[in-house]
Amino acid sequence: MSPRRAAPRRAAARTAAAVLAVPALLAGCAQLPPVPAVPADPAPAAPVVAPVQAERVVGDVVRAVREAGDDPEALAGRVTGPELALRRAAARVRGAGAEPPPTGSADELTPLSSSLPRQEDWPRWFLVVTEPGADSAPSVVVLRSESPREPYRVWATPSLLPGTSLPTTEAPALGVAVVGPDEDANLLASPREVAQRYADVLTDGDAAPAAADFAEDAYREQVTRSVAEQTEALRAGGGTFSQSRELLDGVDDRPLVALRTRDGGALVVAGYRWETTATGPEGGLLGDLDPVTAALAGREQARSARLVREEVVVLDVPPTDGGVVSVLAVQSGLTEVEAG
Amino acid sequence: MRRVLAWLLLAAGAAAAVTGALLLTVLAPPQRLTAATAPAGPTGTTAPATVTDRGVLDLTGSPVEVRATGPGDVFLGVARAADAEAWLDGAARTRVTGVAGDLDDARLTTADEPGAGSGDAAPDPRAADVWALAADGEGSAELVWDPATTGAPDADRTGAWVLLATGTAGGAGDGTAALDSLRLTWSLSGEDARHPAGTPLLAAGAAVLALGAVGVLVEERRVRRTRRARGARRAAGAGA
Repeated sequence: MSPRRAAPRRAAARTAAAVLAVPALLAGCAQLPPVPAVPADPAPAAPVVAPVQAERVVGDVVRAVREAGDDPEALAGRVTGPELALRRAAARVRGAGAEPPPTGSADELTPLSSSLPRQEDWPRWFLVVTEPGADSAPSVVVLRSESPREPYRVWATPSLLPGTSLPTTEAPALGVAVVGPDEDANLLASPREVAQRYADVLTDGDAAPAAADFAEDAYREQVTRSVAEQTEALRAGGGTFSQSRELLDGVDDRPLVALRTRDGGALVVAGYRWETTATGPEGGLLGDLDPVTAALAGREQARSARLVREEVVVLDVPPTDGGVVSVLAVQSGLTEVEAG
Repeated sequence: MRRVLAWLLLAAGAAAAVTGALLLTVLAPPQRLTAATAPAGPTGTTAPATVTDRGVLDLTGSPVEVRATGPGDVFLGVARAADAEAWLDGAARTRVTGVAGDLDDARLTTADEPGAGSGDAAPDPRAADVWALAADGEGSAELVWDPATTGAPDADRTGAWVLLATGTAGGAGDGTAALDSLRLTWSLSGEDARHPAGTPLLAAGAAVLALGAVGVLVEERRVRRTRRARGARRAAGAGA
């Protein structure tokens, strides 16, 4: 082959090699995906506790409470507020060999449904409705977390009164709107005002100015009857009976929790500290205390006794044109006794 | 020369089409992307807590597999970005900012952020409930994150969730300590799972191949006609 004919063929071979090499080189050029841009617009309204997170929290709480038993320190890891006070009192009563009376607390913490608020700030809370336990009544479990680094703790577990049912709220995935303590938009009254009025109704009975705002309920009837009987009995023997009831202090100026229901009303959970003082006649004989009171007082006889009960109620507050307030669930029990 | 050019087009087109097909099949990029931090130290995780920047968990498809190793009890938790920030409360952290390298050898890029406010270390993260998903284990921990399983309406929102990982300094509840390693594995999906040159090469190769084939056919016919004409002229010259 002459050099003049070979030169173009070598050039062609080089060109062909170059053309064939390009695809081979490209094979090694697959690229890493970049970190996607994060949208600057505000997040859509959503519950801050995701449904799966709520399930995990409740599971952890159930396990911790079961393992804690009556150990007050271990209980404090996952229980707080009225629930802790009631459980500690029950443990003391059991420790003294007596049977704690029913308090309307949940006897089963297995969740049936949950109401997850759309709230960003702490303290945070959410509600869980439990399966009916041995008392055949579902309970409303209030869980609170005081700060990002603290766990949710059970604050109260009032059980539904016979014949009541909870109003419908938004689905857990959508979250429910929180109603502020003093927010009364489209409500009969603000949650704080309603809670205070019910405290007056429990204390003063039908004589309370707001008695007509509340439907009759089994707990109110029981409290009113008990107070009347004690007052009458002590008066007949020359003694006295007095009582006071105040809203339980909350955290961060939030003594109660309230959420908007689908009908435009609100579901309010409020706690009270109910203090009664029974004093026998001057110079009278010592009276026998019942086993539960004696267990908490640390003595079996007394002339006077100051009893502290913690109460938690769930109120269904109707919208402005919706009628009267209904009491749906109650938890109440003795937590302290001071006998003299 | 035109004949050579036609054959070159044919060969190049065939090569490009075959390469394109290979890139879309046997030479396709891996369907998973794995990236890890450098070993603990100046280029790895140094702060007690390691947290991903918003968007890192959304780099490509779900689910994301996470594995971390470190001292003591290793904790992994996925939380809303704002909740994780609230939990950190100014604590020092190593931020995972993205990935670098290539698909077969990717590494997590990190940046250290000194503590401010509450101090360097954060408390035991297992005591908190801000985590939508969490896992822990002695020396190592693993979890698989798929935002769809949270049930939240904004689960798929880009940048909604971040990962926080810590070791523990001296035992459970004894504060946090820097990790030895953190590895994230994403499932590649969509464009990320295809070689960017595959489809263009296949299409362009097929077009060049067709062009070359036409050129070769035309040139071969022309050459045959030329040869027949030469043969006829030679035969006519010999007869004369």
